[in-house]
Amino acid sequence: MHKEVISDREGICLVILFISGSTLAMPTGAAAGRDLWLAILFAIVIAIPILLIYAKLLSLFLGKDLFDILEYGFGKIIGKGIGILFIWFAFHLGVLSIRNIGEFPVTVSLPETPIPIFTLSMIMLAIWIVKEGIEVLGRWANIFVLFNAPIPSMIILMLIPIMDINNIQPILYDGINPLLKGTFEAFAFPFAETVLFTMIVSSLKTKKSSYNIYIKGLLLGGMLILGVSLTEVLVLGPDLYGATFFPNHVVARKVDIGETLQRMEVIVILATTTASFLKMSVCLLAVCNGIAKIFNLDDYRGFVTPIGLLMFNFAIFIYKSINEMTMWASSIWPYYAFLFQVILPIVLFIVVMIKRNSVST
Amino acid sequence: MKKNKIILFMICINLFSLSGCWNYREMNETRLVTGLAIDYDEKKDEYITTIEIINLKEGKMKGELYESRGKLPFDGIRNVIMKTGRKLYFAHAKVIIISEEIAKRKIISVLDYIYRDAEFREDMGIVVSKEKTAREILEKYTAKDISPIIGYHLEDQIKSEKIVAKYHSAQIWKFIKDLYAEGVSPTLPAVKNISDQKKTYPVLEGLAVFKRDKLVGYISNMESQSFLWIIDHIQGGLIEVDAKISEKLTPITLEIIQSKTKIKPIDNENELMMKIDIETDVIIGNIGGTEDFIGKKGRAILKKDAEKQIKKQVEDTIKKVQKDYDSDIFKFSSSIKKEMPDLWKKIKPKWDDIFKSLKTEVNVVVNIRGSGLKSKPIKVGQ
Repeated sequence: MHKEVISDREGICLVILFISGSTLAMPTGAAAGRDLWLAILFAIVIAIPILLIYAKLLSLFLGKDLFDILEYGFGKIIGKGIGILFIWFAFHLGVLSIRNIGEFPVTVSLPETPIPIFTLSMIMLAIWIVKEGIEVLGRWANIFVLFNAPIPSMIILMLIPIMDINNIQPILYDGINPLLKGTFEAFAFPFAETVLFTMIVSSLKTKKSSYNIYIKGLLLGGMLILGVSLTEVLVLGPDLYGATFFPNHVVARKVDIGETLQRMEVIVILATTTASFLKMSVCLLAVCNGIAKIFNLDDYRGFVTPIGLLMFNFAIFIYKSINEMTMWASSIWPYYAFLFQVILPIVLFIVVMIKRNSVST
Repeated sequence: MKKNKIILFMICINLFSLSGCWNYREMNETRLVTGLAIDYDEKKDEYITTIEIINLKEGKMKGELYESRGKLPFDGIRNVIMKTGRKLYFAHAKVIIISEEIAKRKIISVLDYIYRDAEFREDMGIVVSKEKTAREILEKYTAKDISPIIGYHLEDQIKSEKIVAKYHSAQIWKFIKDLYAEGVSPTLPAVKNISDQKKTYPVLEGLAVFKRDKLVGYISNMESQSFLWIIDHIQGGLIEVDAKISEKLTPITLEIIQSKTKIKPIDNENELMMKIDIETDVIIGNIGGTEDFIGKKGRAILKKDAEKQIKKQVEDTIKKVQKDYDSDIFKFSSSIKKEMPDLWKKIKPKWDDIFKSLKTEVNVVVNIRGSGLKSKPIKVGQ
């Protein structure tokens, strides 16, 4: 079997699409209110060192992924135990993004269609693409980033006439606390979710590739999210932004240039759907890859379908309603994900560095 | 080969079963709603909804009215289906007319429904009926040759705001956004029926002034123009000026080409004051006499008179709103919050009292940019 390799460019595209996945649809950092743009900016800045740790881990062990590194760091049993926790995290994240993309069309335009109709068709495609492997996923991202990044930017430009600068002024009116809370939310969803890439990207070209992918992907994807969120707040105001389930869709509806260019929400739905598809595919790939590593299997392709269908089922009964979903995403998710996004990687990093130093001396 | 054939067969089967829509609706099976009027029946505590739908059956566009009742607007609107027999489609609804009664007490339930429902477009217009009920606006309409559909007729009027500049249209989402803002009170255009040449049709007239979410009164067309000036939303429209060059007054109409207003709060020695700087570019549109207001001297006089007039008009409007309604429709609180956030935090609880006695300073600059096609007034030969 030949070894799968993805290029840096493909990796960057993967990260960009992954970051913009659910965030194009759902609000993030709404706690920061009018200072949302600052919160996202801070979140990007805080995410840089964390992502550098992920990148360093990948670059130290070229050709290995998180599960191999965990085993190296903590030994076989504890390493595998933590590996299982990470698999659960990836599984859960995948379930959440499937549910997001299921709720999105049902809420905004097709209230009578059952959610499984959307999620099932998406998960089928995700199973297919994961079976094809990370190379195909990378090439897919390479194409769709050309489609997905310009659309939100185009909508931002078209919304300039109805933006109101008063919506973000005065800066820091409510003090620093909401800003910090919003920063934390935006950091956990979506930037630090890129920890998943340590579970799948074992096939990079050079030692520098991981830095390249993480940092460039974060900055480009972060800029996209920043632009979109800032537009949403400039148009809707902080209160309506926080009160709307899918603000990007709502602002796209308001595009009206000379009464000819309007009702752009359809292409926003397209952009959101494709980006979320990539997000759930990456999650599925991470889960399958992890299981293969834990059980010392050569290939993960045999159980992609059952895992995918399991995720599909979880997505149906994990929340009772969309209200529960948004409450979870903004209030509980950041704290829950903190363990996997920050604590465990840092502990692993320290252990690995100590071990390597003691070996070399 | 055999495998390929099976796959082809399966694809064909799927084409038939998957290409349809889940819940498709044909044009002829839905009713397009173009306008709604919502009234409130106090005795029964019910909302009365009147809906205008397009009847496409007879080849010609024709509006039809249906009425129904419900505990809340949504309930009432669903009940219409019992009469029309077919599902209503709201995405093309252009305008919603609410009665005074609703505007005074129950507007939130109407707004909430429109804003929550996925089918409505949030940029539809909302107007307050000055008639006894909102239904009358739809019911008494007879000017079918202006536009067969009242909803479209009202929408056209709302869109003419730019050139008429005597009312301020409110899209629902902007109205809600203003409700969220601290200290600010929103406005809505008011509508009433007029009759001429045996036709009855609705016209927008002035603005309905709210205090938070409750209607408190109306301001006239002229005052609405001043209001537009203050909120920097005037893009056209006319100014009537009486200018004096020799002894008698000459009426002159100026057309606004563009205008810019800056509002700045000034806080000197605990006395808050709003500084309103208006700069308007106009052209001379109509001179009601033979006096020369186009020459250098005449222009200077006209400029001064126009500035004085606008200043007075704006000041009067502010005073009236402060005295009669005490509601900050000019968004002064927003500019205070923006420029002096610390001060705003202090004065927020007693903003209503402060607004009532808030001092304003209006400075108007009128720039006369031209005089239409002609450079001289008409002269009558002796």
